[in-house]
Amino acid sequence: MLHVGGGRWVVVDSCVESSASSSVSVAELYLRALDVELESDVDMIVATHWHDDHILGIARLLDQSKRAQFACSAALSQAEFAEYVEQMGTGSLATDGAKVREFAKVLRILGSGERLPLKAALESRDLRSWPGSQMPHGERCLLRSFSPSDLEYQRFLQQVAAMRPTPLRPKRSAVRPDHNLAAVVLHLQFNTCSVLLGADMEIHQNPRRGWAAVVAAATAGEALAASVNKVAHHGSINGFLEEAWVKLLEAEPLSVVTAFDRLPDSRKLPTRADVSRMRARGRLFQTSPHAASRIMTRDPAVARSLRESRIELRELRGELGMVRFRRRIGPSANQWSVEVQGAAFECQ
Amino acid sequence: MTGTALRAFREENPSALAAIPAVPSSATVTESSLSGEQTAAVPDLANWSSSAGDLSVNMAAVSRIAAASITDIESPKNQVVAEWHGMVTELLESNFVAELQGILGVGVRGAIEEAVIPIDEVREEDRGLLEPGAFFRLCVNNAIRSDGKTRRRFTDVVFRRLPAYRRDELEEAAERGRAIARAIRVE
Repeated sequence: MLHVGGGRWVVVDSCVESSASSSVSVAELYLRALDVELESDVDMIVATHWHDDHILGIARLLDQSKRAQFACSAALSQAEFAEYVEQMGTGSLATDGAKVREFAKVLRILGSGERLPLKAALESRDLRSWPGSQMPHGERCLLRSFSPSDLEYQRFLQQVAAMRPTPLRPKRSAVRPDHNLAAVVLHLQFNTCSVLLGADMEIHQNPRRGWAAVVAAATAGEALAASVNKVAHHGSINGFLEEAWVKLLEAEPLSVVTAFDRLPDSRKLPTRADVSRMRARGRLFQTSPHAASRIMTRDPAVARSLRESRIELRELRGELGMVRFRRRIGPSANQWSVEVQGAAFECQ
Repeated sequence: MTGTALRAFREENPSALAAIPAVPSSATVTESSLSGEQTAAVPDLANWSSSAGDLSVNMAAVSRIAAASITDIESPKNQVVAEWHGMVTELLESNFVAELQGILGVGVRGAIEEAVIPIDEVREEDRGLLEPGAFFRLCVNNAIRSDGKTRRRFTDVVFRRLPAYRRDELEEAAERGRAIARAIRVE
């Protein structure tokens, strides 16, 4: 979440507590705890991509934030994607769980005719600006997207077309596509400082894709080097481009990373090597440790049978944590202060 | 009796094979109609009830023949002691990853878990269904002897053959999507 000054808020992505059965986003809980009026004080909600760990609870949040403009990749506003979402997520065809159903709700809210136009994010696109004259700190604030590239936009729509269900094929769930390259990388800039939010962007050999394309767009747009960095793709080596750290970030930025937990354990992110790589470039904070894998207590005979079949089952329970970066904007600007709450911690 | 148990019975009782109708391929797909103990519904299998009914008759014939001709051989029944509904999320080299929802059993029912399952556990006839997005049932069963004692315990991974998408359903949904997209203003 971004507070740009003057009580104006931008929410980037959404999640729910892993132990919660409701669809109330953590962002909504946080803002309401601060007595923020969702109905009037949230200016923009951005979905960087539609992986379920980034959008759960976003539909309700959007519905509550009546004046907020919704921004997402331009490709998600296209008819091809809306058709796919309806085919996978609604009525008797629905087999997807939450995977597209959340976005189906978002599209219906946006199509109700009562909302501001959807802001389509592409490379080098201004999403929202706040004039300095309207801000108590007096500095203009600009939120820009530096992805997806035109090529990535096209490839995403091709991918959606390939995923569409076809007649006579058995029904199945929506598949979590590998389209991190189509994620929206955001840059928030004031006169004197900026923040880079890397979403789940990854590297690619093609310079028109991935981080290379982002760097090109940001450089061309004369983006101010960021002093706070939301690390891309859970700190993975696939999300790391040396050039991005050199050209888009200040020396020794403050970085925050979120853990990604999936079985088998070898795939958890960030790895120790990832943490070392990031720590070598500045202070690093993690929003929560890796989720504690809890083996459910069950009939010993059942547990034994599963073991004999080499079937590994675990309930993944994440903890909630928050890292908050604060800085005074304006003539008497000073350094960032960092606060960790809940399960968040600084990586050592 | 599940498909697994039936195959085991047929292997153990070859002399009874001649009198047993072949199990229709469409009827091997699911556990819920074959195992009388289970109550899990498969609501969207439009043609299921008729084939399940046929198979129930076939199973009864199997039991009668077995009882008449081989009196000292067990007629196993299955008791499902744990069951999950699963969805494949990823294929690995020798395993697959799945999301599971617990349906039956202590410490199982209501649980949401993630699983890594060896591909070897998937029946040969189901391997073609193994892909991301596919649904299956994971069961832990007790095979019960006719004297009521547990003969053996085994796990079963059974992929579900859901009905095919219908062209008219897909087109209706696509038209809804197009209408929603037309209604969204974009800038």
